[in-house]
Amino acid sequence: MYGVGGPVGEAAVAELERDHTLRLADVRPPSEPHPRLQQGGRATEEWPKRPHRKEHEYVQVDVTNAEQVLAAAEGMDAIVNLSVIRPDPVMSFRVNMLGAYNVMQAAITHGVKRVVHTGPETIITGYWNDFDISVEAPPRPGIHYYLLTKYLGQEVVRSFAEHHNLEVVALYFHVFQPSDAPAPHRGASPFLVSWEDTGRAFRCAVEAPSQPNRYEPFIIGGDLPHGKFSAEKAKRLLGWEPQDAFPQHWKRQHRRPAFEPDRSR
Amino acid sequence: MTSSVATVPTDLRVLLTGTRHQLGFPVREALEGAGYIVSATDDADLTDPVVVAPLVEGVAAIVHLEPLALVAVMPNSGEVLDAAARGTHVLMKAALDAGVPYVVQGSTLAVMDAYEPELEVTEQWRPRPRPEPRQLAPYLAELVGREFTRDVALSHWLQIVCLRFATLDGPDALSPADAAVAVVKALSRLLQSDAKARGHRWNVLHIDAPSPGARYSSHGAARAIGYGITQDLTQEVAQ
Repeated sequence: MYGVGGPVGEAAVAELERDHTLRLADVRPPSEPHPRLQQGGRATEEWPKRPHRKEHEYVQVDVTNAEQVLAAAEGMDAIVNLSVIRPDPVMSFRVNMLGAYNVMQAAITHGVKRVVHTGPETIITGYWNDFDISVEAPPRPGIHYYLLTKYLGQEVVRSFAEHHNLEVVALYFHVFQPSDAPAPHRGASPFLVSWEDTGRAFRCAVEAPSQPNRYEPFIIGGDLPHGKFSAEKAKRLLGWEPQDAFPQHWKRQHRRPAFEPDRSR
Repeated sequence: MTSSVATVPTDLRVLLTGTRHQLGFPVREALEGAGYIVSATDDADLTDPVVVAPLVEGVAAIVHLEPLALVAVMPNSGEVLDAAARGTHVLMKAALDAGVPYVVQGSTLAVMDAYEPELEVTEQWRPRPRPEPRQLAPYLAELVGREFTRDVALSHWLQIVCLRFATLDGPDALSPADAAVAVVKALSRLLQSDAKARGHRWNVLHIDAPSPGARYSSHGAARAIGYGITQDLTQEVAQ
C-alpha cells in the first residue's frame, strides 16, 4: 500500500489489516505524524480510527523513485496506491502522474493482477448544475494541479490496464467524515462518505471478483438524498454497501427565523 | 472549428517549441516561408515558468512540438511523462497569462494504433495509447492542453488545434514537408478565426500522408484546414 500516511490510508489499513498481510509504504516514516495531526484539535478527533491495530512491515518509498516503488511491490498479490500531492506545481505531476506510472510498472513487473487506484472526483465542478451523475461521466478536471494531475494518473493507469493482463479498480472520493459527525463540513458536497465505509470500500476493491473491464472506476460515496452522485456501480460490482448516510446532516434541526423582506427600498 | 474570413497580418511572431524534433526544421522553414517571424526553443526547460514567461511575450501564437521532441531525445522512462505534461501546463498557463490565444499542438497518431488496421479510425475514436512514454507523453500533453480550452474556472481560454501526426518513418510515411504544411494551415485558420467565436476551442485533426495508401484518413483536416486539398502555402497568409 503506497501512500498510507494520510487519513484515507489509515481508513484503508483499518479495514484491510483485519484479514490481510500488509506492507505499508510512504515517503514519511510512521514515527512522523501526518501534518494535519500535528495541528491537533478537530483534525485529531475526526481522524479515522483503527480498532484492530496491528504491526505491519513498513518501507519508506518515494513513489517518484521507480526503483523504490519496484522493490516495495515484490511478492505482493495486490497493490493499493493512495499516494497523492495536492496543489504543488511540480510534485503534483511527479507524485500523482509519474508515481502512478511507477506503481503500474511495478505491478506488471511483479505480475500483480489487482491494483486499487485512488483519486478525487473530477466530475463535480464541470457538472455543477447536473444530477444523476455516474462515474462514467467524462472527467472535467480543469487546469487545477491536484485534479488535473490525478486525472492524468488515472489515464496512465487505464492505459496499463487496457494493454496488460491486470485489473485496476479505481476508487474515486470527495469528502470524508466520521460516521457520527454532527454536521457536514462547511461547503461539503453531496459526495460524502464515512471513514468506516471508506475502509470497507477498500476491502471490497481488493477482494472483489474479476470485473467486466480491466479498468473499472467507482464513485465511493454514501447513499445521500440529493440525487446527484450514485454509488450503484460499486454496490453492484464490488458488493460494497455504504452504511452511513449522515441523516443528521439533512434534517432541519432548528426553526429558521422568519424571512423579513427589506421594505426600505 | 468556426472561422470568419479575416485578413491575417504579416510579420506575426510565432513561438516554436521542440525544434530538435525531426519536424522542427521543416516546420520552422514552412512558417518562415509563410511570412511568420519564428522564435524557436531548442532545449529550453519548459517546466520552468521563469524560463517560459519571456518566451511567450509578444507572440501571436505558439506551435508546440516539445512533447514529440522529448520522446525523441529523452531516455524511454517515466520522466518523459513529467517533462511533457508539466512542460505543457507551464507553457499553456504562460500563454494564458500573456494573452497568447492560439496554439497548434503536435501529437502522435500512434495513440490510435491499438485499433485494427482495417478500421477507418477518425478523430471521433477514443485514443488508446500504449503505456509507453513514446505514446503516453504526447497523449498526456493533449489532455493538459485540452483543459486550457474548457476549464469553467477560467475567465478566458486558449484555442488549440492538436495535430496528431502519423509516423514519419517507413514506405507510406507522412513526409515532414506535408506535416509542416499542416502546421502552417492550422495556424493560419486559427489566426483567421475570431477568438470569441462559438464552437469548440479544442480541435483534434489527424495528419497522415495525403495519399490513398495512408493508414489514417486526413479528411477531417481537409475539411477544417484544407490539408491535402492543396499543399500550396502561398495563399495562407494574406498580403
